[in-house]
Amino acid sequence: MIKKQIIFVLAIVFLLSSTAVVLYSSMTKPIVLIIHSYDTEYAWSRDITVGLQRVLKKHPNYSVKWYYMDLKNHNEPAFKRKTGILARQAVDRWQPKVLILIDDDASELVGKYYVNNPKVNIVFAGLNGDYAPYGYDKAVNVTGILEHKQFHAMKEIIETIEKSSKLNSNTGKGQGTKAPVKIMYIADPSKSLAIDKKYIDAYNWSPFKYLGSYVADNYEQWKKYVLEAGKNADYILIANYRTLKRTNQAGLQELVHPNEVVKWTDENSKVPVLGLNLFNVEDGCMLSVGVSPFEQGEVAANMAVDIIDNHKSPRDIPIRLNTQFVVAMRKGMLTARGITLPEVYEVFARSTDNYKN
Amino acid sequence: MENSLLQIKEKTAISWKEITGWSLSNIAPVLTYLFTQQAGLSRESSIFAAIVSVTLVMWITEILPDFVPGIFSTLMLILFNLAPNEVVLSGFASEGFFLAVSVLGLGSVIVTSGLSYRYSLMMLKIMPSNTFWYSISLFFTGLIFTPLVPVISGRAAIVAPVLNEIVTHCYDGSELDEKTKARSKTFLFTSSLCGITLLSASFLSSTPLNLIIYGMLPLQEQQSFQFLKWSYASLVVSGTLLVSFFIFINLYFRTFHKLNVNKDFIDEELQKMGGLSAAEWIALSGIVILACGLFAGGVTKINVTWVAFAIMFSLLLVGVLKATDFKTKIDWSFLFLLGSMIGLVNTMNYLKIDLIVVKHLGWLANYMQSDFRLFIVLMSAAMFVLRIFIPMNAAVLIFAATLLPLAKVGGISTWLTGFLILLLAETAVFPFQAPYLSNFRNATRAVVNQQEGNVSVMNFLMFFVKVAAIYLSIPFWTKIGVL
Repeated sequence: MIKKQIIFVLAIVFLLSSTAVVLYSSMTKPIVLIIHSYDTEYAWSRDITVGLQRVLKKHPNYSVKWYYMDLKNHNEPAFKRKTGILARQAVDRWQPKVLILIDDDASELVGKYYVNNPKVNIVFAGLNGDYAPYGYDKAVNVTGILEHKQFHAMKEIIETIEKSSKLNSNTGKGQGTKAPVKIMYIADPSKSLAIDKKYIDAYNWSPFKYLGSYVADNYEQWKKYVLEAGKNADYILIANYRTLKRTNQAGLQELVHPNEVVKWTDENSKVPVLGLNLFNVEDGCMLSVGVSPFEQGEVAANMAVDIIDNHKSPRDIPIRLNTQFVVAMRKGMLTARGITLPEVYEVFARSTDNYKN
Repeated sequence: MENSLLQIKEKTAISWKEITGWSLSNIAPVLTYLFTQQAGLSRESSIFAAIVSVTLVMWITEILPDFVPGIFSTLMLILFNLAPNEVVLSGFASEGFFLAVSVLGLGSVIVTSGLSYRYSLMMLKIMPSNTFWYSISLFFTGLIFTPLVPVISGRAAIVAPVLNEIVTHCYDGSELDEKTKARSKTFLFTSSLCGITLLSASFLSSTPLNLIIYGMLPLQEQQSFQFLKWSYASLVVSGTLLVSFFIFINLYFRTFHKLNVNKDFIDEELQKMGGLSAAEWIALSGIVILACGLFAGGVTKINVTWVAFAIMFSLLLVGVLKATDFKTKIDWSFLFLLGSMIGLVNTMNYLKIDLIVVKHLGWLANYMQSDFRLFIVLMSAAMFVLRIFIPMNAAVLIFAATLLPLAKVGGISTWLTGFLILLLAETAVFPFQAPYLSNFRNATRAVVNQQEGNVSVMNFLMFFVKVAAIYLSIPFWTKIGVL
């Protein structure tokens, strides 16, 4: 009988000590909550995740949680309100040590509610414009990396194409053309592109002539702008088109698949269509020069590590601007348009796994 | 469970339902494969559709226990190499699976320890002896065990003896005429029945189907809608159902009178049981720790699934949940169904078949998004009609496999869609629609002899109350970000 009681007491001691160890380990484990504005299938978000994981995988002592707001597929105000509430509930539920917010929507719907909250450290990534609208300029608990499009790199590429076409005289512009090269930017009505618009419009495109930006409210308008661009511009620049809608046979609004938009655009445009995002090529575009999503992810994750492991305050970590860009290309489509680029571009695209035949 | 293949062979008379079921099981996959091939689907998608068609036929015609077609589908998906094994078998490694194992383990201890029986006796002892209070007591007995005992038949096994006890002893020497007695007994029967079932959809752990739907939700929604949030989000529906139920049942039966309760018998039983046994204390502690785990999740940072799993481990460690009980009291057949269902849905997503569903039923997704109120009417009507012909499990699984991908595309909460499916599917106007309650009916029929017609009328009324409750919840869901 006594033996039985001893065994029971030992079992209870074992149970209680295991519980204490587990609770201690769990309660002291720092939580990193990553809130993406978009969804897992979106190439931009996916590649930022790759960058984040490159760093966070080296820190198995962190508990990493993910939340996807899916705002590329649903940009209606009602959905925005709803997903914002749910994302903030996730923050309150997990009470993370570091909250990583990817892209503008996450900062608008989540980040600005936690500005100067002493319990949460915020690291943003993928902010297209300024961080002041979210109150980050006056915050002591916020740092991050901005995402400003690589217009200079795009200008260089267009210059290279132009030089190459003058040498080859087969892009349709001919050697005798003296008129400046004209560029037109067509965008969908998404928030991130509305922010980008300010920057692309203000950028000094000289010696090229910038014809302005055209925001298509729907797929029909997008088509109209693409067809009109053929009459005036020499190049069309695009960045995103995921929020374009059309009316289906039942008379209801539906999103148009990005591959369909890019395919139609390329087939019907009389001039080359170039992308300002890396994933444009994945969607079917011939060439793109984009901000590196991997850099965005890696930098944000490293900032989180600095806060957790090196006990730095976010205000001591300066907000950074992106420095890396990546080139992606579809060789077959470029050749079909008669565009030849120096081999270094192809090597670069191949080395970053962004080359397609 | 009793209609296994061997027993079917042994039966002297084979029903037409079985002949139809087996015939369709042979024909359906061939026709589905040919049809989907003609429609331009890939070979893998066609094979998947063929496997699903057999599984559905088996579920709808009930020629085999529910979990057997589930095992069939898992086996076929693996043998045809339609997806990597880790995708097909993902259900068996999911959080939903472990949550179900744990809840079933704790549920069985609550019953076997005697805790539930003690509660029933105490309730009878305390309550005033009249039909009004006893109907409330019976209803709340079922309701209290709804989140704790995750199987309807398990709750029925708790409530049935209490109902029998009341009916056996309370009508002795009563001067009521036979008609009033019969109506009064049916009143108590209906209260008991609704106590067991009415709020099944409102608690994550109240039925295996809830756990299946939970397992089918995207991971993000699973994390958002665990025990507390699930019940919180269904609060307005639950409140409306409760209030309406008491109004309707009292207005409909209008049978209020005193009952002669044998309190001596209750005292004797309680005396026999003595004080709380060690097993009861441990079962009670399990409930308290689970509740603490729910409320303190933000501090402990431990997902409630693993709190429940730890409780089950502790029950095994201290020997309250014995190894034999672990084998026999946990419904492993349901767990196989759960694992195979989640695997089936994940394979569907892996093969991108959810996109095909979305492509062909995109108009429905648009309705969900643009006119949710109309969608509720359509869904309620479809479910009501379908449930006349199709068992609850099959109806829930068909609706879930179709509507959950659409909800995702339409930007509607998948939890809300799953909840509506569960709420509406749990509608059994006629007894044949609820075979899971047959043990309750069988256990009480000889004593209660309820008027099934009146029970059906109440169930019919409650279906419309459910639809009304959904409408009433819309502002609440909008406020908390569910809609």
